[in-house]
Amino acid sequence: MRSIPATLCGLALALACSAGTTAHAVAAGDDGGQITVGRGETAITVGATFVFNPETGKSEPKAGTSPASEDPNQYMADIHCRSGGSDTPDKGCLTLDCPPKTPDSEPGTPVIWRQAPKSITNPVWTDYPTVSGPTCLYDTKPENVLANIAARILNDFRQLPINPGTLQAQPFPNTLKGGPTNFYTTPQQQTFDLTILGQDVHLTATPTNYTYNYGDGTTLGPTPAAGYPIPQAQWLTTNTRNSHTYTQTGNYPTTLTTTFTGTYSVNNGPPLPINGTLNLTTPPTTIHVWKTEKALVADTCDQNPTSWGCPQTKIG
Amino acid sequence: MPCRPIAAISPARVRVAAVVWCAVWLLTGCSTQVSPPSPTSTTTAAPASSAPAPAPSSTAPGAYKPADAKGKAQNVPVPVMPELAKENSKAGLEAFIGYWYATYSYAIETGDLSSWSEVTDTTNPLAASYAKAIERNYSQGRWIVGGTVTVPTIEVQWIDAAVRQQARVQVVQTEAQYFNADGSAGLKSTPASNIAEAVFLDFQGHNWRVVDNGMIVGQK
Repeated sequence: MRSIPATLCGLALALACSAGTTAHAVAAGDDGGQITVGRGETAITVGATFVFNPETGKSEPKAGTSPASEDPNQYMADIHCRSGGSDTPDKGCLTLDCPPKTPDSEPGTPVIWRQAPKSITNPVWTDYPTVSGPTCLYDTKPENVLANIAARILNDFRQLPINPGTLQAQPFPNTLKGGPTNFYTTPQQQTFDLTILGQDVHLTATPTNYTYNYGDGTTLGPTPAAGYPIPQAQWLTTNTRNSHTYTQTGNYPTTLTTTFTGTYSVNNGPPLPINGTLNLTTPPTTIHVWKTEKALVADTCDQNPTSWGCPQTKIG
Repeated sequence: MPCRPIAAISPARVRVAAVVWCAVWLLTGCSTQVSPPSPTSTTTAAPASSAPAPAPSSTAPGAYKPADAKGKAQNVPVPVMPELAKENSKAGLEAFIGYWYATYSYAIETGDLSSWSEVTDTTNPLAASYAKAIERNYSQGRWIVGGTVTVPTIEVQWIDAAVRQQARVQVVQTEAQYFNADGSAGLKSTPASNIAEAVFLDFQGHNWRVVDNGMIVGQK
């Protein structure tokens, strides 16, 4: 056969290589597509993520797989408006016009947004890639405006008319004791455009955790699971991560508390994390828990409308 | 890398490929275990990542030429492990970490993972992913433009007499663009990044070896 020499050579090659190094443990075929070589992207995909503990000076594996609610970056508005660390001011900086927003106010200052990882003590700053070129900051002292906004942003965040979402249950409004009632909500990211200290601030509120209060003294959460609707055929028979089984009949006020995290950006700058969360609780919705009784009957309700359990029969 | 899965070759080409392969194998001999990168190489000193353009004329034979839309990088200097990096000390570790990232950057520019694999525990899932990505992007005549890394800051948390040491490293990576053999653009390019990584190393025998690594995504 023609292919034998090739196969033998291939085998010899594979053996020789595996003896030399373990780099070829990856058996994926090379006929696959290209893969990103972005180090951060790859690390996040694989789950090779760490958190730095300043007390011990060590990095520890990040527990769990929930997405980072914290931004690993720090940002600054470079008022020298120099790009890429060179000493040549960015060309756009010299030509960018930042006229006063009102006739009697100060003109803005062109800035370049720069970024560095938070956990490095004396990092090198690089241009923030998603905000290209210079943007205008409006304040007499641009280096103060970020600090001033940062100092009050959490308070502003907590004043916003954020929609707490709705708690939904299956079945609803009537359910049965002893069977799992499925609870879920539909998470919605919400955005707001505000003016704070004369700056345009774009704020995004993102639901991250949910606490379900089932009204019978039990709660679930906070959990990142928003839950999901299930087909009617599965109602009261299928357990979900958010389902609850009532053990007593009665009327129960149920609520959902959603924890929001926020980011804000100043004058189209990079999204900055808000250090703090906001908990919003829905008004209570009452769920009615009933019980079922079983009996053996001889006829259908059509045959005998007064048979046990038929609509025309008194319960008892 | 000289070792490609056999399945990648179409049957019609098997015979030719066999000849070429065996030739390549004989020449390079999967030499990844022969330690420090060839002392015979003279274009050494600077790590690939920090060499902007050593020669003024890019057409001179033997001059380093970065990859571009027309083709792969040429004459990329092979990173050489500094003597200091072989020391079991804080300074040695720092020098080694610089070397380790240079071997990765070299692999990004050339597809050659041998230097990097020698000092990396490639059974680690992230290391395996890095290796896989580089192999894929250099298979079938593909190449990468950019994506090279520099490490401006290395903060070693040295613990005396500990087997395992760790460091925080700032890793700046340039935008990576992906090209197919025919020069067409492949995967969507990966934007430039500036991140912090944690690196965990053991001093084994006479060398450092990276046993774990990942991105620092927050503070405790």
